[in-house]
Amino acid sequence: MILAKISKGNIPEFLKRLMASYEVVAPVEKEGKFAFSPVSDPAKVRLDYDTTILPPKQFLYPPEEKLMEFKRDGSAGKETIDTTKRVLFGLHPCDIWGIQILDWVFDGKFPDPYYRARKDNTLIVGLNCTSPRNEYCFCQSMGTYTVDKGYDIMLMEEGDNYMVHIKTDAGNQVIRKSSDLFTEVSAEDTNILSKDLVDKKMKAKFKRKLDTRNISELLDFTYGSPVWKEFGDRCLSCGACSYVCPDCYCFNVKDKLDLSLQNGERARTWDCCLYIDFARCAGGHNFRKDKATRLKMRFFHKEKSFVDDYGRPACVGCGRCIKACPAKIDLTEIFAKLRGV
Amino acid sequence: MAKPKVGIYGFTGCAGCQLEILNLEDILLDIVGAIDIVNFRMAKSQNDDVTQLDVAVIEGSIVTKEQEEEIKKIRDKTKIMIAVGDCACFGGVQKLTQFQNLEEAKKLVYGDVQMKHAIASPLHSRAIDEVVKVDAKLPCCPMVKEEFVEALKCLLAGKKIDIKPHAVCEECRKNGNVCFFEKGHVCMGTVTLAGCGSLCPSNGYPCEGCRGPVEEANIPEQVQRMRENGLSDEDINRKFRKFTSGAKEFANALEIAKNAQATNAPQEAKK
Amino acid sequence: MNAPANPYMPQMAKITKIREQTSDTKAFEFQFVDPKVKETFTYEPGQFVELSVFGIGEAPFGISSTPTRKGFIELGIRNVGNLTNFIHQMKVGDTVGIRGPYGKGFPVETLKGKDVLIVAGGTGMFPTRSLINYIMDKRKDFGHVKILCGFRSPQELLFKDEFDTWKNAPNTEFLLSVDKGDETWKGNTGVITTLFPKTTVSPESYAVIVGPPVMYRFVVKELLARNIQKHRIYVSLERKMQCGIGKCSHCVIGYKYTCIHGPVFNYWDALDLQEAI
Repeated sequence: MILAKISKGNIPEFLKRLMASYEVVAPVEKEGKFAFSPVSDPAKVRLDYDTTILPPKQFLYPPEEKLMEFKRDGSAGKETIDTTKRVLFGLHPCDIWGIQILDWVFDGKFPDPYYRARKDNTLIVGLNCTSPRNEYCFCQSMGTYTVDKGYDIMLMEEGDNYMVHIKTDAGNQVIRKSSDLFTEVSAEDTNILSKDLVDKKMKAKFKRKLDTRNISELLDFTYGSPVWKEFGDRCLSCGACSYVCPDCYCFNVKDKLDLSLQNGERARTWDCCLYIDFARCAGGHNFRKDKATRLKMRFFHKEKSFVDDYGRPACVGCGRCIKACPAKIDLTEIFAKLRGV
Repeated sequence: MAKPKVGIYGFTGCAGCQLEILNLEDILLDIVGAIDIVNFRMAKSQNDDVTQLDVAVIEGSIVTKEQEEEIKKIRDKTKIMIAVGDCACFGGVQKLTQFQNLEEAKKLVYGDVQMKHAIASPLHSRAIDEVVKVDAKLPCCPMVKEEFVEALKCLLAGKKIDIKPHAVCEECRKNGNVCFFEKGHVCMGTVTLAGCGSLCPSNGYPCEGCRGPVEEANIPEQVQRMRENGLSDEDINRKFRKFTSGAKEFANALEIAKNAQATNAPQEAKK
Repeated sequence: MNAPANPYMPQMAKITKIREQTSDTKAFEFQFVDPKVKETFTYEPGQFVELSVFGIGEAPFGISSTPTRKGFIELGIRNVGNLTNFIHQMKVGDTVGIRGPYGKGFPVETLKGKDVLIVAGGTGMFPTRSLINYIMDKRKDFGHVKILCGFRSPQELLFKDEFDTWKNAPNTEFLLSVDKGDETWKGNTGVITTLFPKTTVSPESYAVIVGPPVMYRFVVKELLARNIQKHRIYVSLERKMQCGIGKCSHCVIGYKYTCIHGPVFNYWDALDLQEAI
């Protein structure tokens, strides 16, 4: 393990240097909350943020993304791939996990070149958590409180400094370029760090919990549970939970034309399985007509499908969906009720 | 291929939707290049009332007998009729008279002024599709000009106009806004049809529901949220009915909420 | 073609033949413009492709031709929506985009040497025709083949010009029914399950069912009553597939993607998906 140390006071300068060769995306304040946003002023970066409105997925998989340009003259389309060099700065472990799960989906049997190109051009700088950031966090339940891969650099807060875990060569290169801002780590530093991990991190109490044991089986056996209707009736089908989820990735593909009708583009936009038209076919048949079925489907996909395919749910316990739901639907409550507790 | 013939007409409304067409300054010439606007009184001095139309764009609602005759005539010579804006799609704000006596409403607005012509004996405001068949509706107050252009392109390309049955929240969330409910305010975006790009919420104002109800809007839940935020029944009705009281979900929100509660009550009791 | 760098980019293809089927259905034959793709493009019966018309959109269609006949693919297309309406107005020589093939097809290797029962209802005929003609072209590889077809009316018959070929093929039985006949109709009238009493189904058969959502339950009941075991039944399920490559999630059933885990599912697996049938 390669460690270094940077004083908090040197972070703005580090950010500034990163900006010279990257688009730097970091948490900034927005109406009393926080949002990941491209920044040009290091002073605006708020590493004391609790969570962000949208997860960082929007920089790897934007809400609307052009897939290709075309002419309607019989010629082949032209792919449009974004290769902007980008740093995602200050991601909490849950969001880093979120990106790793997106990797599984977008790579897979048919690798998605749009996502892959963005990901390959993105450097991820994490920011460790040692306690719940707000009342919505339940990452401890989801095994995403800590993360041991999926980042290039990890910052770990330690008094006036950040201990820096340099995970990858790409991370090492940017640190080497700013080596004057970093110092070596002493034996005492590592001591403090490991002690801190035990004292703070492991003893932190998370109030919000989700019991993930046999979750796939649980969903199978509660398929007909009235709990789904209870929550389904409340669901506004607004899509908030999906859009704020680090691991919701449904999309819709749409063609657009210019007024000459000769040129156009094909784009994909975020979609959400709670919308009434999500499984409605061109002929009009809707495979999921009612809200309860759609809500159930969302959790089947995230918590069962992913356990079957990848061994873990597509939920990182960031709590954004609980916070964002106008109808106050709380998945930890749904799962507790399904278990009858 | 001959350019499709288009007529743009205004009935009772503020003409704001027609103005939106003129506001498409950057691409107005492209539009004029793609279609043949044979009738557009607001923008043209010479208008043709005879030619058969491929597309008629209708703004405003129907409030007099005379207008009713006129819209029927337009319909007879038109292949595709599009209603734009809330007045044409729902009857507009003026549809609020449906909840009271028309004479009293008239007096409230105009006082004792003596009026000539048809307006002396107006009817309750009606949406265009309450009088003639409408092929597509582009709601909003005023209509969204980008949506209008998209609709036009769809018609030209032989595509169906595709307005996704999603709530305003879709666009609002994609824009990364902080939810008004999270800030302790009531917002109508959860039950309102998207397509405006969440214009109001993105600029610091909660959604007022001007695009009308989204398909299968969850009215009972929204009413519940509004009550929790301290709104009285009167406030709730006002919020729902303001722009699109012509939509039955919004006109009867309280009743819908009450009925849902009645259906769910026996289940609640069982628990 | 089978593993392109960008799976979203379609290959250009031209319409080479259009065969009217019913008032709202046509069979389109396509050939790829790129000669190399045209030569190498292959697929399994039961797989589908994504067909696009730039500017209008893209949708999945089950391939109705058989990979044993090379150089072209044929898709049956019913005019039900935006894209299909547009395609119906296209002519021979017009260009479309095609990508694929995608999904899991019928288990032809499993079916080899076995008696096969094929039950096709309505547009379910599109992908089944691929399997039927595949079997016809490799007739010796398969045991007895029984084809049961059901359509709504005599006007709705699909690929009827091929019925005689199938009927006259060796060791093959072909039965046809329409839900509602007319004065000219002399064949069987009634839903597809009314064909079962008219034939005997060996419990050793493997069955393939493709049809509208409502059909599966009734047909499966008939098969189970004839002691065909669940794992010998295959169904091809229809969902709102969009990307075709297991990303967009529109076609998810329970916890599987129709586009990559299906569209052909073993009935036993489909049962496990709860909302599948």
